[in-house]
Amino acid sequence: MKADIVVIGGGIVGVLIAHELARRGEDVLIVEKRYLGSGSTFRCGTGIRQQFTDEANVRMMKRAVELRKKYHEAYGFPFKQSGYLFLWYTEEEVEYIKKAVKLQNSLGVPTRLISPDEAKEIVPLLDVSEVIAATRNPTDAKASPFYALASFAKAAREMGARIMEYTEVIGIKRKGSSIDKVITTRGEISTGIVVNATNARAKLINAMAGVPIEIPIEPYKHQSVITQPIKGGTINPMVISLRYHHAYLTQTAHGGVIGGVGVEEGPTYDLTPTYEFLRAVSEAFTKIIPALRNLRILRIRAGFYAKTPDSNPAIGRIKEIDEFYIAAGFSGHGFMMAPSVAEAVADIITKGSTSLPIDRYDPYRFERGELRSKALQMGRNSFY
Amino acid sequence: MRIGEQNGEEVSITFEGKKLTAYAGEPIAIGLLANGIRRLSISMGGRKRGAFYVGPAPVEVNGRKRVDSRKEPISEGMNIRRGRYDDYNKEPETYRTSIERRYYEVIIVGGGPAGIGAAQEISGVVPTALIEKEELGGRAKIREDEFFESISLNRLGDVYERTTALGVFYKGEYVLVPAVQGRKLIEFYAKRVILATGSVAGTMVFENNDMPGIFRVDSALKAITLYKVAPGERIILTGRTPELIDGILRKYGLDYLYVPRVKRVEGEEGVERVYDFEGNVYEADAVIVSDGKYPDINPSTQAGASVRYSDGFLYPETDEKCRINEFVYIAGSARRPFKEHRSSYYHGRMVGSFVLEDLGYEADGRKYEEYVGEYYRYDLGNIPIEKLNHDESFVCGCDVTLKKVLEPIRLGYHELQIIKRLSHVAMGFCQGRYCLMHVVRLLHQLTGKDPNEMDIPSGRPPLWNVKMGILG
Ligand SMILES: Cc1cc2nc3c(=O)[nH]c(=O)nc-3n(C[C@H](O)[C@H](O)[C@H](O)COP(=O)(O)OP(=O)(O)OC[C@H]3O[C@@H](n4cnc5c(N)ncnc54)[C@H](O)[C@@H]3O)c2cc1C
Repeated sequence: MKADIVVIGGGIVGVLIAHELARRGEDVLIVEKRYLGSGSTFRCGTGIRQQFTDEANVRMMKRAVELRKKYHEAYGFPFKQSGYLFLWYTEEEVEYIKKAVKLQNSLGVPTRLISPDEAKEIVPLLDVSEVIAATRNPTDAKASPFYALASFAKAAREMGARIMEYTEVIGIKRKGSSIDKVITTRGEISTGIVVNATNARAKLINAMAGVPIEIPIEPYKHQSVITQPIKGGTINPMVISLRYHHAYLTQTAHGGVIGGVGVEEGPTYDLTPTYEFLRAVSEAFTKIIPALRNLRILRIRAGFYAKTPDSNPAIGRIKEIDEFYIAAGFSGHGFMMAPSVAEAVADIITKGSTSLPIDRYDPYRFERGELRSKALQMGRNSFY
Repeated sequence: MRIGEQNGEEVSITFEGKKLTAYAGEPIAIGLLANGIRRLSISMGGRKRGAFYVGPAPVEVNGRKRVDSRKEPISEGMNIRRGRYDDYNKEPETYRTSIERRYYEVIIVGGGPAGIGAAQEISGVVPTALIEKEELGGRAKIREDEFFESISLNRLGDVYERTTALGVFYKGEYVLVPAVQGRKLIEFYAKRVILATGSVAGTMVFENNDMPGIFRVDSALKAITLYKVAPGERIILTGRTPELIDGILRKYGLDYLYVPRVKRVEGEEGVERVYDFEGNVYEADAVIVSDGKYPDINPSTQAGASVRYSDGFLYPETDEKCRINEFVYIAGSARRPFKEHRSSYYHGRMVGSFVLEDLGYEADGRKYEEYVGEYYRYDLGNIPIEKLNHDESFVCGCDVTLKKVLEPIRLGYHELQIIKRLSHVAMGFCQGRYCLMHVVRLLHQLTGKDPNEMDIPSGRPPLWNVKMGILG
């Protein structure tokens, strides 16, 4: 088998990269170990946020929202700009977040600092007795990973991209500095360009290709919960409370409450859901919205946060190999970011450069000891 | 219609403004059924629903919403109204009262014949806990099984009834099985766990198969034998295994007609007419669906078992001692759908023996082998998709129509995992217990794919839906 470009990994990032390359007329093949989305993508919390605390992430997410909106209109998958609502509990937090709001506003993201009462108007079930302020950006969003991924995959196929599922990459052959073949459990693929979009398993693919630098992406187990449905529109925005176990929660199109807390285990490849999570998520959610006490949990499930030391991904070309690209290590924000990541990666493959601010995600920064400021993520972060 | 001596005191209740009499202690849905009321809830998709087939059955009681009519006991003066699947209460009311921790050598989950057999085998030797989410006896009890009634319920170790296990979690040398009992959370720790969680009743796909008046075989049995209330006065029995209930229907003098396969039911408040595929129409007020029993694979797969398919059902893969790993054993119909409760019981004893042996005690499980009889073997079965209206036939109680499941398959998605996510089948209240087999069938029918080649989703904790307020 032959392909000009092989994308390894059929998660949201791999599929969107292939989609964008196919759109630009490239011959691209996705190789996915299990089924599309079976990695972190189908375990994700559905949230799409632009409220970050550094310029590059705000710009990348803003572009991602624009793109997703465009494709939502073209392909019809559900996408709802119902906002993110952060709850804040101390003066120190509020001071910190005021700066972020200013930054976000200067980049065209209309976040506002609002009062607890205003927050309660948006989600009447909230317990705001300890909340002193909230931030809300109405253009943040949520989307079903299932429909989004299926729609992009379908469109990619229609534009000529090929997809191999239940096919694992087990080796990469080089001829000198050039990529020669990708070896899979279902045969070899001759190719000149490889994109590593395997997220939590990116290190293994890097090793197969002989990537000469250290890109420390480690797999951490994160879990999410889904409850029985309640009336649609009861919890519209993604509600974030860093104080209570870094919790995030919202409602799916089916009415269930979905979300998680920052109970993190790892590095590990184990994805068994845990009792500790079941307890922690119930504790946090019922603090934030006491009425959830009455609601029944349907299930919990686990996925990976593929993490780097600064919680920013590694995106870019590995110069020593002709040609090898990486887009992996997305912590808790790969789903939201994928559309602009795909655009940036397609830019550098087809044009050699991009106007998107991906310097921040330079894969060489770890080698050089130039860690970035931490990306604001659900899970571990600067507060608590 | 009441068909025998009632337990409990006669009380008066109100339903949708109408005064009725019922008996204290019986579940709301049963008390209403005895008064001829079948329609209790409205589904997310706006469909009229009863309490006895698939999906939950929420009602409003004295202003409190989302009360489970299948469980909540009736009491004097209750004011009941119909509920909606998406109702919720603004006032938080569920609180945990305590957390306890208990240590045992062996925990048995499931108090049917297999769990009882295992407990009797083990409890005299090592400390044993038997956890049952309802009452001891399981299916055997509601079928008034003679063999089961002949065994004594002594020597079971510590019995925890009305206690719902949430899952199996591995903690080094120990296994943790957290469980909810009322408002209490109990953390059971043990060295070995036996899952004797039994089987689930097979359901069928036909037009308007979500209508009030349709019964799963186990809910019909419960109504009749535990509460002495008939499912209806003109009963149609359908499905491949009428023997799971026909004896009881006769025993209680309930007239029924056996129609192997139903095409459609119609009615206003519930079933009034039943159509078969030969063009016959029957007047009826209840349809009992008895289409096989299937191992409930969710507890086993949550604990880590892989799934295999043969003889018409999915089952957890085990070794020669019925183990899925060093810690967890599967006993009874959770492993193979036994025909006789006697078989489940002796299988439980056998597995109990294996556990003792593995814990270093002298025991010979093989001696029970001769008492373990046959299990059901069927073919996979099929859904007559050419003859059904796809918008009106439901694969799943969460308003998932045949159409919704066929769509992704016809678009070329042949992976069960994807079909599940695109159609939302097997993602709701029952976590796949009553609907997953239908998807397996459809996928096989349309693509020829062998069920053993399908990627079957694992059960996830909690094993049964549990309120957040108890865990938080
Ligand atoms: C509980 C939880 C909640 C989250 N919530 C959010 C959220 O609200 N918003 C958000 O933006 N992000 C969220 N995330 C993060 C998000 O899920 C990920 O960042 C995103 O899905 C990453 O996409 P990906 O395509 O890079 O990786 P993945 O989806 O993991 O895809 C990588 C794929 O590579 C495949 N693969 C690996 N090795 C090989 C091989 N050798 N050969 C072939 N294929 C291989 C895998 O099978 C996998 O399918 C959450 C994550 C978790 C776990």
